Amino acid sequence: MQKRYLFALFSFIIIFILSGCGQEPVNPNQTDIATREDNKTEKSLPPEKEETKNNEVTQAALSGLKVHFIDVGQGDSTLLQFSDEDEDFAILIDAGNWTGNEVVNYLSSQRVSQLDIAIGTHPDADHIGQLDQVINTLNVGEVWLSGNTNPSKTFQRLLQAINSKDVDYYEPRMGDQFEVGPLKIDVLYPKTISEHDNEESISLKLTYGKVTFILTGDATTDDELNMLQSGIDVTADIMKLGHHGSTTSTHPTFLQRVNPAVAIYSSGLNNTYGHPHDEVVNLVKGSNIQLYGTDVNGTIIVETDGKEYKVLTKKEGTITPSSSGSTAKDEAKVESAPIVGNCVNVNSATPEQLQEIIHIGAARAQDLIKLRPFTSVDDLGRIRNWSSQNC
Amino acid sequence: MEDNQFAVILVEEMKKEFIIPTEELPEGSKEQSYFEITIENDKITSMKLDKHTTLSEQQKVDDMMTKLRSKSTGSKFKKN
Repeated sequence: MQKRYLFALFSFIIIFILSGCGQEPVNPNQTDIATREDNKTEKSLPPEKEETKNNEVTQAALSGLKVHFIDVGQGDSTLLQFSDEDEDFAILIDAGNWTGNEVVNYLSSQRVSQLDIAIGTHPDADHIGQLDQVINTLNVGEVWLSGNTNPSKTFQRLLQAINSKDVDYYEPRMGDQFEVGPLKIDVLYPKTISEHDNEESISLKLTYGKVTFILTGDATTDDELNMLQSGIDVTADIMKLGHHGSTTSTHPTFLQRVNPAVAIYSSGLNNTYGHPHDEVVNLVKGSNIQLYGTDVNGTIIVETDGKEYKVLTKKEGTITPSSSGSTAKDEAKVESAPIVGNCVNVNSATPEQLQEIIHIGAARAQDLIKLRPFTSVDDLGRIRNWSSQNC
Repeated sequence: MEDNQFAVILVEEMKKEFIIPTEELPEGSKEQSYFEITIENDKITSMKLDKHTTLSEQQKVDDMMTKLRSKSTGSKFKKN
């Protein structure tokens, strides 16, 4: 009886072929068909670690921008929050995997009730998965999609949500420029679409004051090279690694031209695809770029005032090659973050290292050491004469 | 398809994904295809390509996209 019911219930399903996951699965089973259910853990806890980087740039004061690389398991979702003259802005780039509800929960935890723009970089279910929930729950101004389609019910739900909520719809193209308050958006890709979903992911350069970000969805190495040919300056401080850290993305030349100080990928712990791939991890680490991943660090937040930026993570941990295995990741979780490049761990740094952070002199360094550990940026308010403007 | 190793099958009524090697797919399978499947003990025991549903669902999507595009007035944030 049970089997008959299942057969009827599962009459129609849809299939996607993942392109070019060039690594054996963590748990390959060629004889049995493996199943997976997504982790639906809430992702609303505040960051627990702080690292700081200073850029020596002079610039008119901007209100802060927070870029949340949300831990949505094996999927993608990035939230931008900023304000300008008492006007609040929020942009969402991708909305997690279709099986979960982390994104709406996270937006709720951040008190985001409206989005100026919600972007689905491409129609795969691990990127637009919860975008229908977002549109149905929040007040969304406009939705951007690449224009490539997918017959999945998940994608259909998204289109129905856009239509029923009467949300403005737009398909950005290479060379388009946008200004959302003080945030400038340059569209790097696609130029045209041809139903090649990953390859034609909406790819963006974000500029906030002097601080820049690159996000490329699941765009491939070939597309990255095409982006370089567009003539747009792709140099960026923070780079979101394409396709969850797969070798299908992050061409060495592209990485070199972006020349980021920080690279971030989004992938689920012990995912079947082995993301991030060792080759990419080695390439990034070998380029002296600080690497963060949602599988190891949980939700990652970059905070910037347009001059300096800080990387905050929910969990401490450093990415190492072969981090796709459970053992390696479990070990990584409990490592204390070392001082790498210009970043300083406030919970382990020496007084001299702490004074490399702007607004921290000898006296504050001593106060900070006495008050350790700090579990969030706001927690720094326990330091004498510390104001939120210092953050 | 030669570079593709895995297929992700979305069983939307179950809200569950199955990930299988592409060589286990029925002949003629390609991205974005619909299938009739049988699941026993949390495993797929049979798969059959459903070309008719694939086409009809894609047509629904194409119609919705046409409708959305016809209503699109661009982005209010666009500068160029």
